[in-house]
Amino acid sequence: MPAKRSRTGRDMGSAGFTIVEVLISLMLIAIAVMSVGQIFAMGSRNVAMGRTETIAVSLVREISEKIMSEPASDLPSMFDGVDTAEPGTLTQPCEIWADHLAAQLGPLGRGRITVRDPEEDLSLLPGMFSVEVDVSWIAHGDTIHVPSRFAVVRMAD
Amino acid sequence: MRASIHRSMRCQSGSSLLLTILIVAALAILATSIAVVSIGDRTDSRYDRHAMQALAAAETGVAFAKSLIISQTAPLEDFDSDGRPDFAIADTLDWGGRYTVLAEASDVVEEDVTAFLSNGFTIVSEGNYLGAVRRVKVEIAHDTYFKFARFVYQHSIQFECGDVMAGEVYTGGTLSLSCGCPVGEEPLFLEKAYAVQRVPQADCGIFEEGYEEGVQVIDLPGSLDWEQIRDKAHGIGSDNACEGRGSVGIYISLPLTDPLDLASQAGWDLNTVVLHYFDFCNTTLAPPDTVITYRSIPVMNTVTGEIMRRDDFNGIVLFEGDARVRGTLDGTSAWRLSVFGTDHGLIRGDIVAGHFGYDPITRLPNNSGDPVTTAVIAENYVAMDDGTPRILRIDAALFSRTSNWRCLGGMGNHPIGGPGPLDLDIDGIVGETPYNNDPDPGIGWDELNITDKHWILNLTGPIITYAQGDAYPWNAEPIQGAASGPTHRYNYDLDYMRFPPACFPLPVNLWIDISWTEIFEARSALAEHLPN
Repeated sequence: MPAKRSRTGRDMGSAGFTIVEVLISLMLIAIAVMSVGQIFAMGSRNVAMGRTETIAVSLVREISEKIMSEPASDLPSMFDGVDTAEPGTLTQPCEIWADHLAAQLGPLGRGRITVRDPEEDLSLLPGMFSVEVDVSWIAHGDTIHVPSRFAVVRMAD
Repeated sequence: MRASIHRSMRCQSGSSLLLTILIVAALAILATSIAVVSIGDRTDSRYDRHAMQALAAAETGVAFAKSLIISQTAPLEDFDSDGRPDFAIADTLDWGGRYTVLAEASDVVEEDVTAFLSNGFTIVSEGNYLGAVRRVKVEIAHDTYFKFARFVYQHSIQFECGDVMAGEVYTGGTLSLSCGCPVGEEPLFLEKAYAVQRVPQADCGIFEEGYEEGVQVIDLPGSLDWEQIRDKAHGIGSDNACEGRGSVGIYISLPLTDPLDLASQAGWDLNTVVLHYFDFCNTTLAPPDTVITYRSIPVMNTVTGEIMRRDDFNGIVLFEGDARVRGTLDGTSAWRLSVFGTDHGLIRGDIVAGHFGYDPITRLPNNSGDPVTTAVIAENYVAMDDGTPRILRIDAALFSRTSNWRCLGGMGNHPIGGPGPLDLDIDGIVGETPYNNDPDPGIGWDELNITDKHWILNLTGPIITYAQGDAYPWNAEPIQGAASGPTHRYNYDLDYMRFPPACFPLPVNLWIDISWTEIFEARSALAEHLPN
């Protein structure tokens, strides 16, 4: 009897517990896989976002360096009002930049430049210009902006 | 067999849960890793953005510092007590970020940086944006008047048919051109032209490098500080060098202070510095030093009381009142010097600039070595004096702080030049006859047989004046009508850019960028990045 009890009880008990274990295990694994999947998706989005952001930063740098290399007095005519979404506003010094922007950010990418003189930007001193470069793109329905703003001053040409 | 199965089942009981926990743990580690990596990546890209903004803030600080320097409104101090003016500014930007700037006057030494070696600024700027820090170091220096073939501060200026300007042109008024010139005779500007006002007949001229209207005023009157020049001539200023050379000049206040004994030069040369009377290469009078003599008499250093060593001479010859000058700087008499007059500058004859090289045995110039340049700088007008010959060659930069350049005396006041053979078109060929083929074959001056019809004023060097100049009588109608060639020519010489005359005035509100460097070390004090 003790042996039967023992055998039956233990065998029955062990077998049932194993099924429960398996079910719980499957449930846990499913939850874990789902969570990891979400984290993975979020990570992918983050990495993609970071990558795009890095590209945008490099595009802002590219045009900023170009702007700073030009005589300040020429900046309003060369760069003010440039908008890559409106080809009519593109000036010759910005054409290559616009090409790079389109190639790297796709059709949803956009670059805009605004040049302000001391009359438009009261924080400036005479002879200075402020330049605002804004690169934006649309991701997951949101428009993401990478702006940069700096001042330059007119020197001898 | 059954017992064996039971033993096995007993051993495996709970193992699937354990395995699951291990799998979940592994997945958790994987998820955490992905999260950490992606968040790190995002943080990096965000820092990249912030660093870009910090750099923009640093650049903005540099722009504000430059603006203050250019407008001469920088709050100059000397916070490190090293004798060089400096200033500090800091501000928070409306559009985010903050800059901190230190700037200090410094010696900017660079290829093609010429007359302004001691007149630069080093600017160090730190930009901060949401924890990101970027630093830049920028050097700027005064631009030079020498790039201008013609500079008129206040008035408009007119160019005629046949005028060729090889250097830049600036006018504080309107730049006017003669229209209707024959083809090929249109006013020609080989470098850029600038007008504070307009260039109304721009279509009548040829602008190889274009022109610009509405430019900012360049401060000519503020470019020359007589007290500073006087102190340098005496050798008593805080910095007596010109372009890094010398420590004392020659100060002349006739009749009492006459270190060159100009009063003993009888006749035409009375009270006139005759440049070829200088010997800057005397090695026998005070060996081992090379010292300066004038008419073989030692020039004394008024600071040391000894014979002036050549290396002590900063190149300033300052006259209180009118400065009178003529002569040749070539070979042993060659030195990059400037003659200053606190009133007028009077040119009493040819000023010819050659080269530093000379034959060590004959001591005659041999056209070797660097070119030499000189300047005549005056508070009032600079003039070809009454009585100078009709054939006149002036190799000098001319500068008038408050007036113009002109010629004194009418058509009857200038004697016949020559005799020949001469080189009237300065093409290196002496005595061309019957024509010097200038500008076209078959016409031009006879350089061998000089007559009373020969009126040729050759000006070589930049002309920087407050107001317009006038070549009369060289441009008088009867003289031009009887001439076989050009009666007045303005030549531009690039040597002035690289080998400037001593302490030539600087356009105080005209600056150029010399260098830009990012400082990749952000922990030290900003002041440590200024020059010692």
